[in-house]
Amino acid sequence: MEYKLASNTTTRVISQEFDYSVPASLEEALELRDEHGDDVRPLAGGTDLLIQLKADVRTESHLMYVNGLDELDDVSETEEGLEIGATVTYDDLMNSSLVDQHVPILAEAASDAGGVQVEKMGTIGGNLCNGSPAASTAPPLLILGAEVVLESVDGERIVPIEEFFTGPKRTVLEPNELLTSVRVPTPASDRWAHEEIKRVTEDLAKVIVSVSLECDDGTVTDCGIGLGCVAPTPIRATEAEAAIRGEPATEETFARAGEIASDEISPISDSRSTAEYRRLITETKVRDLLVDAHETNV
Amino acid sequence: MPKNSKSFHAIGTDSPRKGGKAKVTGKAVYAPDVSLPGMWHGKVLRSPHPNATVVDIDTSEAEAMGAICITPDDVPDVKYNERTISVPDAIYRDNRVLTDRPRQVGEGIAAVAAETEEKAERALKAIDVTYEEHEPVIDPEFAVSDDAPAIHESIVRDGEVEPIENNIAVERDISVGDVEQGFAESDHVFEHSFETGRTYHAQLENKTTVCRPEPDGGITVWPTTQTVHNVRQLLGEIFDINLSKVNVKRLELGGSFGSSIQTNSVTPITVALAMAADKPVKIVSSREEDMYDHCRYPSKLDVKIGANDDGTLNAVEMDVLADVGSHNIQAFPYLGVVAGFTASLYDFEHLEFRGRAVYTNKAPACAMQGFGNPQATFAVECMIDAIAEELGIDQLELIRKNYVGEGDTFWGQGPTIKSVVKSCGVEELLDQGAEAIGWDERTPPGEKDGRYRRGIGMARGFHTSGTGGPTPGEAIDYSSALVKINEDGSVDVVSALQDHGGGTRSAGARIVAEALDVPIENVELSPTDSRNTAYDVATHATRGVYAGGAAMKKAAESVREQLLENASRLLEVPPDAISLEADTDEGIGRVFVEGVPDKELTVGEVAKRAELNNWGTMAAVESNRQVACPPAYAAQFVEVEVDMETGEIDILRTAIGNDSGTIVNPKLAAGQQHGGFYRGAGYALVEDTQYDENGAIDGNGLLTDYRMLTTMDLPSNDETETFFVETEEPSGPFGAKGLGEACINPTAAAVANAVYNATGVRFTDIPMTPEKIIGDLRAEYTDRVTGKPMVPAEDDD
Amino acid sequence: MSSEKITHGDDGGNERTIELTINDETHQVRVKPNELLLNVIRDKLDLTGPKYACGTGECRACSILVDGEPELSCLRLAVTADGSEITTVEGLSDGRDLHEIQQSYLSEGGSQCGFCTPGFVIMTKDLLDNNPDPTEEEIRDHLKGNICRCTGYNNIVEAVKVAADRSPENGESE
Repeated sequence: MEYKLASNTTTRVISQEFDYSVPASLEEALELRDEHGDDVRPLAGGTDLLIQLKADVRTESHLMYVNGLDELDDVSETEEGLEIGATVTYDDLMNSSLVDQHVPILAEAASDAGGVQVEKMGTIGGNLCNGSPAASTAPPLLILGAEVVLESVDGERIVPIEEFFTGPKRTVLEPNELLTSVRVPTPASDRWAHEEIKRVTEDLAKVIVSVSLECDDGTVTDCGIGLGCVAPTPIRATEAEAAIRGEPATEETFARAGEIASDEISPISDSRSTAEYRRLITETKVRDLLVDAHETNV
Repeated sequence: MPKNSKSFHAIGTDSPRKGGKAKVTGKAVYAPDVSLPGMWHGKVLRSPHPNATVVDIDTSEAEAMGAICITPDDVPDVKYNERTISVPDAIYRDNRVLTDRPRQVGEGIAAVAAETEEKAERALKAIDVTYEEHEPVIDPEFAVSDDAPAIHESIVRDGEVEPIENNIAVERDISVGDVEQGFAESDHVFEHSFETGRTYHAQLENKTTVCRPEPDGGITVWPTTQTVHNVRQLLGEIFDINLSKVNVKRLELGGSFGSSIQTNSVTPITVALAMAADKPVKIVSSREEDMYDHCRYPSKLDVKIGANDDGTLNAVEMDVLADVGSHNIQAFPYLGVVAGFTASLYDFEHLEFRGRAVYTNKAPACAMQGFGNPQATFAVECMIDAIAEELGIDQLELIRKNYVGEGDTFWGQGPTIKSVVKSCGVEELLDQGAEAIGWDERTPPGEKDGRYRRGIGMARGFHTSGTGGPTPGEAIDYSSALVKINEDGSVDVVSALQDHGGGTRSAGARIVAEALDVPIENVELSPTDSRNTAYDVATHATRGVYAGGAAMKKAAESVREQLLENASRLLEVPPDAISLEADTDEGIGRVFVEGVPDKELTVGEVAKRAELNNWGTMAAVESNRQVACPPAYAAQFVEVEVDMETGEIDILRTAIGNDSGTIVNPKLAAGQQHGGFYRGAGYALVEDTQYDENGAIDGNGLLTDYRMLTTMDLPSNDETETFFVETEEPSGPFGAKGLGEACINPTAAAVANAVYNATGVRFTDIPMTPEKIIGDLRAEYTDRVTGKPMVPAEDDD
Repeated sequence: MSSEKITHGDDGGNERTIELTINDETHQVRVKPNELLLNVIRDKLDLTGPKYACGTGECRACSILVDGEPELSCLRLAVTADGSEITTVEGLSDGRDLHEIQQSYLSEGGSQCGFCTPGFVIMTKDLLDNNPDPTEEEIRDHLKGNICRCTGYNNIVEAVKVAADRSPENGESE
């Protein structure tokens, strides 16, 4: 999007025309994808996709509405944790007792996604497939070690979330595939914290920080640091994580994690913040959130 | 303590606003809601380049799609200024309906109309424009340099072509006394530079117009506007139509904040399209178009103040560089009021003001709530806090010693409008605000430590009630109203006065009810347009109640005389023997002779019998100019908490006080206080539109890029205290003064002073985003550097 | 007049007929897949309460209830709402009798220019339907996505509190 006005687009109408299908089943949806590939785009909540269609940054010839598919809208318990259907909304995540029990950090992240209406409309699958570095659910899913299930008529493949994003607005999803669910293992530790740093309370984030922490006898045995808006994709601060494993669980250690994390990101300046501020705030918030996670009574 | 002892039956009561039911049921009609039979939809082709010449426009493909297209060749070759409420000498004309010389991204080049908005949009995309691009001028400092290309070669003022040099749209120097002498006589001279942001109005209603060409060659227009009469006059001039055939309808207005004092750029484009299509045409701006249409004047202010050890302020010098953007809508009055607001805050004996307003290739700046006052008050009130600290005098004492108050000469609306202050509640505002916030428990910045630091700050200010004065001045300022008593005793008020949502018209109804002594429920406001009303300049400059209401009161008083005359004939006593009283329980106006029980009628009975007797309708139309524009004073106190590591500022508490004379609509008046504070806090902390080097708004140019404080970013209701000091303004209707803009003027300084009190760092560049302030805060926090407290620039001791 | 105003007849081109029940009235509407629900409600069903103000989900003046849930009608394709039950601000009042939420926005000064009011009233209905006696924090959190440029929100918060007090659930209905 160079100049919005260069193409004289408008957010008042969608001026491009497209076909529209409502598949009756997941099987039918996969067949449509198999037949048309990327010429048929899944539409779920639409809160990102419709803006892109208005702005003509994306041209679509055919949308298929997947929000009504029963196969995609469940949260269920598995041996490892949860399986979350692609069209499960932020609101579902916030109100699911299973999510609360297994991965409450995901409910917390969903509650930052964009206010009540967006919580009702936006889906976890849409959030991930949109491929935004600012995806609210991505940093917690990264540190939880989640996997996405990508299905096609040929079967399914399981991709770790870390490998799913390949760049801004880009993912490994193949033209014949649909993201059908997200598998989230239950973490070993209840120590976690999550925050979106924003200009005002309701906003796209400047920086998203999710952390998890496992400690044994005052020593960090494992940790996760997931970050959004600080690189072309949501990322894990793996160097920072590695640096503090085995270290004493002290504020100094957590501060060191923040320092390292701020060095391993590649933020940009945009209308929401500056690259410099994003580095400073990442350093501070990684430390703060690790401290918070550590202080959580478990 | 209220100074006003008169008891009112309509003024100051809390009955719901007129027209409010339509708003809460979604039935109120705003310009985007207007739909006419056979109406087509228009779209404007806007320049993607900040500075360019259109070499060629090819509309053939769009026309083949069935669209009607207009280009710069198809519109009248009239150079105008969209704001027409000043005298001709103060109007700088540099604009045109459509241009082949775009001077900003988003400027209108061509327009199309089609059966649906979607078809119009597709036709728009089919237009092929060839541009020759020129180097853009984005930075105002660069604009005035010799290296900068000329944005406008010349403009037209009062019929004369005037060249533009170094992109300077207006220069305005104003001098009172001898400032050098003032500084020489001062014990201390303080100076500092301030910078204010490019705030976007973000009124929720995007600028819209519907136009229907009429069979008689006239036009009927439904625009987004604060002034139907000025839209009418400008359209009459551009399209050369007698004003009697130009009818502009007054609609509900979805917020404005100054953005529609001028005739909006889509309005003449819509008219041109409708005339070309010979059909009704509607253009609703998208949000992204609207964001390139207008903003507040961003300004750099270099301020120098001379003061004595005892706190006497002697002299002020101010240099202002204002960025007007692509068109000079009102930079001349802007510079005049920045000087005037500064001069009227404190009793400076000497003042030297040098103002320059320069063109850049960005959206044009125009009035936005406070018009020059938020900028001036931010600079001056931050200085006052700093001076108080340096001199070791409490800030409130320094204010008390120097403010312009009762009996002082005041020229808030610029040097041509001077009047003497007759009502002033500043002392009580300071006392009550200090009490509410706990001013006496405030500790200095040096005593704060830790990461999260709290501070209390305050600032004072005022706004003028309109732009009236004893002499004509630069701006036109009068209102008109027709009031008539219907045959059942109910009352129609017919006025072009616009209401942006503040309750101006509702207040007018209360004033009429009060003046006629009939219950407020019996008074209604008629739908109006430019054809069925006499002139009203605009609802702007905080003049709605004070000036617009005064015209209604004048008409109502004239009708009251007629009522007394008719009653005198019916009751067979002299008019002077007759009393009027609103019976709010029965919902009637009583007309009676005190102490004579059988001499009593209702207003409705008088009206009906007047009709049956063929005495004519009791009605009057009056125009009224107020001969002053008295200051409506304000004081705001805030407590903030600053995160020294992240630069995040949280407003914890506020006390907002105003002296607006008599309060007409109490709940709506409190709403003005809350709203002014909210927008002022946004001005201080977050709101800005930055442009990149290509002349485009940073980001995607969507509302996503322009954030405003939310419900969660403001103090809770319990932590928001509002209060009024009710003085009685002798020139105001029932003692009322203005209110709206006074509520935003002090906010940014109050917040900045609170941040200083919390942190010991004085920020002079707003908005104070975390990105801008984090470096200085961390320096203070870590003691690596001593921070940047304001210090005397020169010390004559 | 636009041919797209037709509400009956053959499937011409890409158009199709959908059924929308709005404020308890059922309509058959001809729409193309690219039409926004907001525009269909405003232009084809003549309910102009919901407003366009940003087109990107930032202002929420277009909020409506779809099958009881608050959604942004400017970010929803009308075809996806086929068969839905929709409530707009117009659907709250009973004839000329205001709903207690509308009454409280009016009495507390929660509506100034009024352009955002349809969205706020709908969000207030959603809040009070699910939480009849909310705290101020809950009120502010529920409304955090809706922009009001006039009021500074205090009188809106007050209106929600008063509406809660007046609601039949809290036994203080007039």
